[in-house]
Amino acid sequence: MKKHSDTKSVDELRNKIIGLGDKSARKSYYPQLQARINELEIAKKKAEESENRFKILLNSTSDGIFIYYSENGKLYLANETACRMTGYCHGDIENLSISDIHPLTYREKILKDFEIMKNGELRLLRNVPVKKHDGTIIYCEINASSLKMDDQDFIILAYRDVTEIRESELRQREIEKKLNEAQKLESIGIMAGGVAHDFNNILSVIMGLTEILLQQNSRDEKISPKLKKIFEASTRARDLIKQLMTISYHGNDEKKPSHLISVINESVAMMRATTPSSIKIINENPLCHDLVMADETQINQILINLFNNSVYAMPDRKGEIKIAYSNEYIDESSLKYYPLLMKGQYFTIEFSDNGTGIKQEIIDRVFDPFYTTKPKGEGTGLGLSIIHGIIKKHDGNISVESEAGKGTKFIIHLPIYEGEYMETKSDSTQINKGQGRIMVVDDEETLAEVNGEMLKLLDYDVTVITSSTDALNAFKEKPENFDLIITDMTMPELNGLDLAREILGIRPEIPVILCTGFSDQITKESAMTVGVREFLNKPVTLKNLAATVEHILSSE
Amino acid sequence: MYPIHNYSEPRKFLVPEFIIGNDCYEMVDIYVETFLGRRVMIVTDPGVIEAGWADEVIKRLKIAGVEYTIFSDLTPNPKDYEVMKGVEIFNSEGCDMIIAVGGGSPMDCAKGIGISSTNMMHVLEFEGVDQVPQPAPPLICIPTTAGTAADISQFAIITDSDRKVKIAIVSKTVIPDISLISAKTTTTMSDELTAATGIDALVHAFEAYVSNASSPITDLNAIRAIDLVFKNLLKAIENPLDLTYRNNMMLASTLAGMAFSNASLGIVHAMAHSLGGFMDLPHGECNALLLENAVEFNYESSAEKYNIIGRTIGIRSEKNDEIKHELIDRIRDLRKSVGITQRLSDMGVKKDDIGKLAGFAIEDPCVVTNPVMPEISDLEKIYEKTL
Repeated sequence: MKKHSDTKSVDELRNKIIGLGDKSARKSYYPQLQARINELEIAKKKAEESENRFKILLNSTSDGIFIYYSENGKLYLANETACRMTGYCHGDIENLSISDIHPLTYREKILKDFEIMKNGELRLLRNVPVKKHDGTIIYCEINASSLKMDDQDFIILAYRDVTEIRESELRQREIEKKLNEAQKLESIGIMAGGVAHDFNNILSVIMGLTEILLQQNSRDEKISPKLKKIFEASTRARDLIKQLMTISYHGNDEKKPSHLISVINESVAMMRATTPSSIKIINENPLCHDLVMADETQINQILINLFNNSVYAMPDRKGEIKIAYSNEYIDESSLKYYPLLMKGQYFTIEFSDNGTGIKQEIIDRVFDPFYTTKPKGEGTGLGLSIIHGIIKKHDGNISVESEAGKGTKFIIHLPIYEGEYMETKSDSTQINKGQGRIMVVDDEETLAEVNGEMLKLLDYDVTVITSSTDALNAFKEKPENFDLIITDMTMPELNGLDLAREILGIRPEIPVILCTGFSDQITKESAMTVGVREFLNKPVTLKNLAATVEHILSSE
Repeated sequence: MYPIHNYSEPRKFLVPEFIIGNDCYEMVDIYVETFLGRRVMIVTDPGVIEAGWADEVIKRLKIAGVEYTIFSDLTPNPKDYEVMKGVEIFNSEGCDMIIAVGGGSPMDCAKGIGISSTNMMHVLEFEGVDQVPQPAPPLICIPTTAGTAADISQFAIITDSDRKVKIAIVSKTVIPDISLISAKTTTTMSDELTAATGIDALVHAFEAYVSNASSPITDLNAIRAIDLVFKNLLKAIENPLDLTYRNNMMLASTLAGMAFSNASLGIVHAMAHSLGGFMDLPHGECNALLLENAVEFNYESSAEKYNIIGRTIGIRSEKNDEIKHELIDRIRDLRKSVGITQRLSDMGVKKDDIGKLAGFAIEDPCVVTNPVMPEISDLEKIYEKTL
């Protein structure tokens, strides 16, 4: 309290006591009340703005946010994304419990997980199934944190829809699996092809010499039948090699534009004869584009193999085999399912049966060469790998769907040929002799000699040379001495194509025949541009050689 | 008969709304509802509870369905810690208004609780004049003594228990919102309490009348209060249940309150506050003992007014000296007739205490409206004479 020592302070104090001091006026609290109301108004506005900002923030996230009461699991709040994600509207969702948005079978587990998350020991759940209002299931990644508001405990959950990511990951895994499968088949094919190439050369010698002996001893009843047996056995060996080369995708083939439905019809007709009548064959013939660049023989082989498998899958010889066709346009989106195809129009064959089906655990191995479930002796395990190889060579795709006990369905896609269809003449079977001067070039001495002998047998004038450079020199020396050049493709120093190019540089009009084996990486088109007139597939048979040479020389 | 006032200095007159009349405390529930009270704190003391006046209030609250909390943990000359305990209960119980039922102590305590709770300050921080920033919650006063007039005044006197001094809180914010003044509540007072409070009213009137801040309005109230006390106090003690004397004493107290709340007091109260704070002596008795010597000290400075008091109470003398002595005699006679016969030394005050007592008293705000500004030695002399 102030000292009363001086008059001034005494006067001031007295004034206050008698109600006349600076602050002695009785207050009207209206202004304070008004100010307080204004403050509250501003605070209310700020709170509204803050709530608004919170809402904008809450609803701008691409995650579905759920806030629920920690103690009973009842939802307190869900943002727009959460509603959109689950298909519930705001009024409905806030009457739910957090477990209600999960499938019934998953609720117990999710509640346990949330309980752990509540303690902060777990923060992220992956691939959690969420049941939408319409019953569909989506998959979410869930992030959790806890929150205390108005003395109550809440859990905030952020749901991120990973359904598409999950699907594309699964699809990616499927594609990788298919690519791995294809790679595996390709490397097996390369190996098989390599073996086949060497075998081919060996067979060429055996078959060539056998044919020569057959011609020379055609009247000898003792020798001739034996030689025929050798030739037949060799032919079977050659066919097996041809099959192996088919797996490797590189074998030579006779592709031409073919109407596949009629080709398949022929195969079906043939198979109908050998299939038990208790098995019903349904072969639908709808109107659709079926012109495909195809090797008809190989297509036939596909059908035979598929038939055999289906029949084998019906142990009691009862059932149904159905073949259906359609056209399908493979676009960007369907490439996900057929990673090995190109975009475009396809001819689709669905070959299905209601046999025993394929067990799920081995379905990935059915195209593996030598993989078979048949008892020893009943199958080579090559059937489906050959089909796979053929389809691959035709730039197509084969896939399989099967359920044990219900049946199997093979779906084959082959690209539609956009060019024109041409009729082809059938080959004559006559072996004709002829005249002409022929140079035979092959670095493998025996093969060169066998080919030379065969031509001599046909009365041609033959010069055999075992080195491509020697051959070129010989030709350079006397280009006019030769009417035809038959050269092997694979040779050291100068290969067949280079030799042809040199020779044609000297005498553009001279016909050149190129003998090619499996491993020769050359297309007919590239050889034709150089000027090569014709091709001979190894092993070269007498009939083939005679016809080709006769055809070329007669057209000169 | 009336003193001449020159009006050169402006005067303020402020009193609360009050209802005066027997049984008016029964209207308490109307005012609780008017002030939107939902949970009331009743501040009272054990004596008042025993006399049944707190129950009268509770009865009305129960009928109105209003919740209440009773706070009666206080002593005469209420201490700061008692106030703060009341504040704690007021806040923790979620109270929103106060009804004070009792004499000066419960009413002053209720005022302290009110301002401390709204301002969230310690009650001692309000010491002085106009030191209360925010008003208190609604306060209804039901006085049960006739003398203190805390139900009218802008004063609240609280004892600072550490410094052992009574502090005065002077503020418009401690004027109640309504006072329900019924003399019936004073019929339960003991003779001693009737005497002490009655003399307190007389001192209020005396000091306000001669205050240098008196006004024609406070004068009217003060002079009438003096007249009423002289004519009714003894009779009220002799006939405690006679409402005529009780009503007159209650009127005297209220009028004296209206006077001193606006004109303030003088050295009697300054010195009594010092005694009450330092030695916890009863306020009314200290006032009674000091008044005679204070009149003697002040007479010269305000002789005209003292003469008017003299004439009012029937003194016929014309000479100032005679009037002064007769006036002092009359005061002494009244005091003794109502049973206040002891001296300060009987109450335990020692000569050695006087210096300290005078030191506190000279700092009391009541000093500044005394008709003459005393020196500290003047106050020491008065204490000595009263010893």
